[in-house]
Amino acid sequence: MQSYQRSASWWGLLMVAALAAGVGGVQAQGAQYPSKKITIVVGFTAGGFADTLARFVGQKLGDKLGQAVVVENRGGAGGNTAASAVTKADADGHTLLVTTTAISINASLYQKLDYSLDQLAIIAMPGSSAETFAVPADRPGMLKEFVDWAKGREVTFATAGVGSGSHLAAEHFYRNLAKIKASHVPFRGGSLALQAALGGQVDAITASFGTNAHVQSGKLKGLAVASAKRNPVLPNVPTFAEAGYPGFEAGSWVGFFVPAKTDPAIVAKLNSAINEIVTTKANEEHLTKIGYTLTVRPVADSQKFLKDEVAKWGQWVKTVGISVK
Amino acid sequence: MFDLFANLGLGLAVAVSLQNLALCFVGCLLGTLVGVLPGIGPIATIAILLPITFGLEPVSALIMLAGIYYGAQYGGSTTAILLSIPGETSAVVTTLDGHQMARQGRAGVALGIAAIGSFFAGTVSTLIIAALGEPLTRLALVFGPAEYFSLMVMGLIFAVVLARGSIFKAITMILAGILLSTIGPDLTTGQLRMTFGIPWMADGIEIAILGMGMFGIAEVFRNLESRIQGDVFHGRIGRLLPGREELAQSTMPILRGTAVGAALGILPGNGAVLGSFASYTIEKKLAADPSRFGRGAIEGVAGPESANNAGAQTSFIPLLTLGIPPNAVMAIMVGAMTLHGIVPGPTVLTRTPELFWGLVASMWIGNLMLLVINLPLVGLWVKFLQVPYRLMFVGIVIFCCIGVYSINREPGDIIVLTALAVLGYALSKFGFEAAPLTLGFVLGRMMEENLRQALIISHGRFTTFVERPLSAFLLTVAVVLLVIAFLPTIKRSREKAFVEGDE
Amino acid sequence: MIRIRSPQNLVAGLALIAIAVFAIWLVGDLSQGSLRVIGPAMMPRWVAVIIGVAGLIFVAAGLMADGAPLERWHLRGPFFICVGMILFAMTIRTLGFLVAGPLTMMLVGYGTSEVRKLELIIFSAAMTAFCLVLFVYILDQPIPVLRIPGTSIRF
Repeated sequence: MQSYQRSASWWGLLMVAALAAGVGGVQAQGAQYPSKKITIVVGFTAGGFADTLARFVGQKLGDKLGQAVVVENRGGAGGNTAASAVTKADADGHTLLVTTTAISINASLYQKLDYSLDQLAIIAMPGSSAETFAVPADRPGMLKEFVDWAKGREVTFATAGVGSGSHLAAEHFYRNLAKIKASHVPFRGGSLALQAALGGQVDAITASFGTNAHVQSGKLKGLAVASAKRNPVLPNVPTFAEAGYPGFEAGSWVGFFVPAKTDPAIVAKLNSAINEIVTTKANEEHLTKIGYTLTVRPVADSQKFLKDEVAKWGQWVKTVGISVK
Repeated sequence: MFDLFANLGLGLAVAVSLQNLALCFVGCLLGTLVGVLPGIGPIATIAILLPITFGLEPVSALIMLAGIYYGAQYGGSTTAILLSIPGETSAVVTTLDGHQMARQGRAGVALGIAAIGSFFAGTVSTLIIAALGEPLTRLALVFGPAEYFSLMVMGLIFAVVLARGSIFKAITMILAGILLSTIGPDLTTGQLRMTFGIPWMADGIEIAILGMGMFGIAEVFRNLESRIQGDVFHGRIGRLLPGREELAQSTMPILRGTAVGAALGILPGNGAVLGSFASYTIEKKLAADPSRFGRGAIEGVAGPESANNAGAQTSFIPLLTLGIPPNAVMAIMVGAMTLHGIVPGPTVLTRTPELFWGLVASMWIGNLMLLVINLPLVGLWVKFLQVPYRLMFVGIVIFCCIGVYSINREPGDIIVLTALAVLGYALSKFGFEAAPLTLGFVLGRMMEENLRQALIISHGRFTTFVERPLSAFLLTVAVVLLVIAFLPTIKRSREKAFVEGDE
Repeated sequence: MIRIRSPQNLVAGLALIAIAVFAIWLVGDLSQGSLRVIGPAMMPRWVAVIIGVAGLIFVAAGLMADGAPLERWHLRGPFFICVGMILFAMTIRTLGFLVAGPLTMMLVGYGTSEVRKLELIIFSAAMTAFCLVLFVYILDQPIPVLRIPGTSIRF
């Protein structure tokens, strides 16, 4: 009941403020931001790649900014539900969107969306995880061997679903780089794809984030990671460049957004706060251990990276030829 | 064997610290409370409590969150029995006979037997996890899409046998359930199907909403038909706990339910939802007088509730040993473990044995606590039934509205709830049943997805379903079941054989 | 002259046929692929076809075999409850629970002829307060409490 009473006592004040300002609550923002609790809307269900980082960063952000941070999961439609909701929220920096690479894929994948990326401003994408190609333990475990082995047959590969980053990256590799025939077996989420790979039901799996523990334990063999540097958690798995396919980089990232009209000062403040969080030694160690690759970028670089991502994934969406009405 | 006790001893040493016992208790209590509220399931609660656990040791945090999980499983049954609102998919079956028992003034007995059955099932499956967790994992991995498809076919045959009335009507309802399940995005191509272009239809229908609409609200519609004063719950509220005869009646169903539920719980991909349906079917088939089912048969509560809890428990196996969450709640547990710096998977057992065994031991303690929490609560819950129905139904409706809204914070879901409630009411007017539709809905989606995955993997060859031994076995069982269902004469003699074989 | 011998089966059959036709029409623009490579429309379309056939059988049974008459529909309960729930859906995000809750409960309460006005008002008020405490403050569910359009009042 506390806020009920609070609401009664604040009512008059707010009315006066609203009348005086003409428009509700828009005052000089940057200086006294944040002035109330911050809501982080996560575009995916609790417990996943985006949610875990959102909760971790959210909690530290709350300590840093001296306001409560609540995480609200609004999964659905590949992250579009949450994105659309945040574009409609007040542009005062108290509502953040946390989503993944999906938002840059969806821009090309969906024929119609009820929001556009222009309605959102990127703050930072602090965490990412490169796409890892892996095979069950009884399949050839070196990339070159695997490609040769696959030439004679039509191999199957599992991913977390149609239009996921893993799917598009894998199709790009098999079709354009390795030039072999491979059939995509989509699963409802990364865990079920992982299960199929562990059981040897499919010939390969492409996934970010989820496979590390299994490659470490030897239940899966890592073929290659699609990143510039090797994954420190999987030091024995080569990059695609080392394995003979230079320039093939793809990964899933977690991005923090606010509505586009938000004061740039607030965006800058959040950007530096998040960057400080992920560069603090203890946090860095923790996040790296559970599988995130951490990147620190200023706002302008983040904007540029986002633009490049939209272009890259758009290209691959075209290659695969999928589109959702 | 010695290892088993050594391990359990290690686990108990971890779990029986004062702090962990307290957290386990808080988790179970909270879980029970949220489980009782429709809609607000363990997923939302665990998500809310995650931040609170940041300051705790990982094992303590997991003990508390696990407590919420099985507490909610149990709490969901309470509402299913009292108000015919299945809080969780697993409680759908409990509404069938549990709610009938409540209407006959036997709510206390139903709640009591559910608690006792759950405790027994929980104890047995904790031992199963401790003793056989690792080898069972390997069995679960044998299940590929082809096997899952065959398992789903078998499950649908169960649904046919589950029917109370005409088999033809039941099949029609299963098909209707499958049709409803195809609403939403197509897994293989990403295309949206039958969503009318409405954004909040884009992910299809949530099972919790289907249950609340077709069972909860539709039941309210039916209750409002007649004069409701004192008519819905027949006055007196008999005994609060099951008597000796009722316990005797329930013993075998509890044993069988535990076995079935524990086996299905190991399968990732929500195999556990089959448990309660399967157990109900078995009990109905074995009963001397199957017509009692649907009219308040205690076996129809004891069996499925045990199966349900056994499955809830053994579904920790794929999570702990493979890092594969079998359902949405377990997915959050993965998130919780990850946040605490533990990467779920095969390394958990080797790197952090005290966490693994501590959690296993706490499962049993949690089940004991649930019994301790719930038996006294039975009296309290039963008192709720004395609220006049003219007010109670208003409360049911508003709780369902809030519950459905809080699943996705999507007002459109309440419209879906309304439509499903009307559908459920219409079905009963035409002599159809909602239970086979629900099972068709649950299994339909998995069946289609696994069929298509299996065909991609086999490059379009249908023979894959009979070439793979396990798949062929499951299909054979399905065919045998179907024959039993359609040939009543064979059915009689089979039943006798089953009963004799048991004793 | 055809005689209707089981109205319940006849109407059920017609409803099933209608549902089937509607579903088939809805997936009309999706490809069904082949049996080897199943497309998105395959499952819903063929399930709907079988439902339609089942509907035909029910219609035939309704005309040929004696059976149950149509059951009486009692519309008062469903009507008030449905309208109440739809109003809840429309107001929860725009006006908040403090408006949506009591409004819905007052309407839903009239779903029975045994309604007592004063009792219902008290019950609605008490339940609104109870739900606020339980869902918003104890369970911390993000439910809008009160919103007045055109002002900045948002709780």
